[in-house]
Amino acid sequence: MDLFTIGLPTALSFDNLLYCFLGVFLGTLIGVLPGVGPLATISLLMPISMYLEPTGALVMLAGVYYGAQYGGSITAVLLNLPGESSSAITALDGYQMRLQGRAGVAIFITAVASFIGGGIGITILISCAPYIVQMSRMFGAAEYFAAMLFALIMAPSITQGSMLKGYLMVAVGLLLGCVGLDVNSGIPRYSFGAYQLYEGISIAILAMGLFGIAEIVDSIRSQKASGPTARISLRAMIPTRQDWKDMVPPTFRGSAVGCFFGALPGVGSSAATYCAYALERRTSKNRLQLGKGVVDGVAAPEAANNAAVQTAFVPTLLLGIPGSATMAVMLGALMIHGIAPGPALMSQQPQLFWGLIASFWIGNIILVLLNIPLVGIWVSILRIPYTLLYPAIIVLVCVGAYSLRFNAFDVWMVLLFGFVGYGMRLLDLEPAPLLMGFVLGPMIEENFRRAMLLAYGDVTTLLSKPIVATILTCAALIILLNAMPQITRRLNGGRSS
Amino acid sequence: MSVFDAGTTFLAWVAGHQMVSRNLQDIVVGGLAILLGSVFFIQSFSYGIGTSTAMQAGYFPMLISGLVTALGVIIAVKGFYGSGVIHPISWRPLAAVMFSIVIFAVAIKLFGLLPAVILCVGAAALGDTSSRPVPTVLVAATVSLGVWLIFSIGLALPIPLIKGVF
Repeated sequence: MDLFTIGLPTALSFDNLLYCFLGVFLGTLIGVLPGVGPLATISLLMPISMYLEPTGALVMLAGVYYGAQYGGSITAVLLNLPGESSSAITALDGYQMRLQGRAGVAIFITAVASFIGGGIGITILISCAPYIVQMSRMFGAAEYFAAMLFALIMAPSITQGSMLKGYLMVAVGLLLGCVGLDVNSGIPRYSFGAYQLYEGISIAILAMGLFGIAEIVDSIRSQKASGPTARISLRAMIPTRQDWKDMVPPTFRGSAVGCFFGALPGVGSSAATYCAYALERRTSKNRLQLGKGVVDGVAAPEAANNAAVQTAFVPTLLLGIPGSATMAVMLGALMIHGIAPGPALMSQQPQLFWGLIASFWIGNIILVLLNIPLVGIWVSILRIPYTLLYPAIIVLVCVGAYSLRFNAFDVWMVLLFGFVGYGMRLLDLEPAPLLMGFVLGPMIEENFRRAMLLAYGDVTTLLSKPIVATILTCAALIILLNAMPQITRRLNGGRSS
Repeated sequence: MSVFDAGTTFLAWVAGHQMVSRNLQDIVVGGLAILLGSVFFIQSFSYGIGTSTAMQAGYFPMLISGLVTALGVIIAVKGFYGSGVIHPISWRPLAAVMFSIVIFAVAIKLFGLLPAVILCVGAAALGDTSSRPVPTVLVAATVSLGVWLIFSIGLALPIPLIKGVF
């Protein structure tokens, strides 16, 4: 199979191994920092990855992704400070375990469950890839449009916060995606005279500003000395036999949940972790102790997390539809390197595709091998006062932004988006849906244009295509399901008052 | 809402107190959305609209900016009836971080990479009341070293390290 003949040799080449290692290492390093989640980490390291050749860049960014996820889990367990919503669930039981003095075990379980979850996710990815490619042959412009619309509709419905504001963010993201030269006519749109905007807003800059800078401004005052972190010896990390036994069912349950949710366009790993935990509440042997520091509560969400991350590459690589906001950033990175994701990717760029997948295996192995002994280092990083850390992050952002085009304009743009990002936090506006809209904007526009052209301008022809209708009906149902509690509340409220 | 009410609400917001009267947050969100949407909407016409079969550059932006404006109106109107919180603004961190980025943008052209990094760290440190001069200098030195290693040596980027001002 191509995986072994093409993928493994590519992934095991010295360069790519190095990038994988670097990605996992840097990802964990930055992911450990409180408040910096995988999305922010990838944004910070994206400018660096631009100088690598495509396969290497993707291998590194993927390593950053699961490395940062792992780092975020460490912070969640030790400090109860999740870096991103997907680590928040781990913090529930993980932090309790830490209070019981079992932090080492919790972190170990995180690593192992992530590894298994990731492995299962990769297997699913590999086995489904050919079918997805076949299915996508039935996808025309209208179907792609519908699938992307599905992703955009789903994205705000699972983030916390007001759904309405979420959709506003998606729309604003779409709008920002319009900035730049129009593909069909060559007219510069919304550049307001600035020639530097002709190529549009760079995703790295948008992400670094909205996530990196805004996060820093928000965190400076609230980061008081992070509480005492105990030394974690290797021996303290080994779980008991009971732990091993307890760990198995939740890990597999979590992986299944993760695989399902990861593959859905628009639904990210956060939904996977919430659902995995919810499932544990109903099916786990130890369900009564969930929330008080139980192995199940750590293993399931972590397995779900990693499985979702891996399977999210399925729609992203093969259809060009990102599985989540983080995948959207990866997609952006792909496109910057000139790689067009889609069904042709597997056949036209087998080295990239299979090499990347093989690197997932290797990356997950590196993650476990590397990070268990190095836990001590990560823990001591948490001891560094935030006062010293954040100027370094700001410099990283500035230099990264400048290095994109050696133009100070880009640094000013980071400033602008940092300011906007902070404003968004104050106004309780979620940045992730904006990013989704931004990355998908140009593609949705193009597919919409083409679809309408082929449908002679008639929207109903478009909607009556079978696949389109199915996708959009599902989206509508899901929105309805989500809005149900609010609607029933209103109805009941109306009746009683 | 009288001018006095608006004024005191605004002042309370600035001072960082939580006031729960007519979800001000949502009204602001709605207002900004309406503003953004309208500007982009009006601008989209100058790119040409065309028809649904022959879309010109302005068609899609017109639709989306219209959507943004509509959502803005809905959120603002909802804000008139709901109640919500107002988050206090961290003025000092905000000013320091913004300032440090500005300094970097200016200094990198004038003085080169390393001075820009050092000045940036210095300016950023002002944002936290618990910063002290000695640790800040150490951080500046470490970061300069790191940046030099990663960007100038590792990635071999052609950025002038130190420029004289002639």
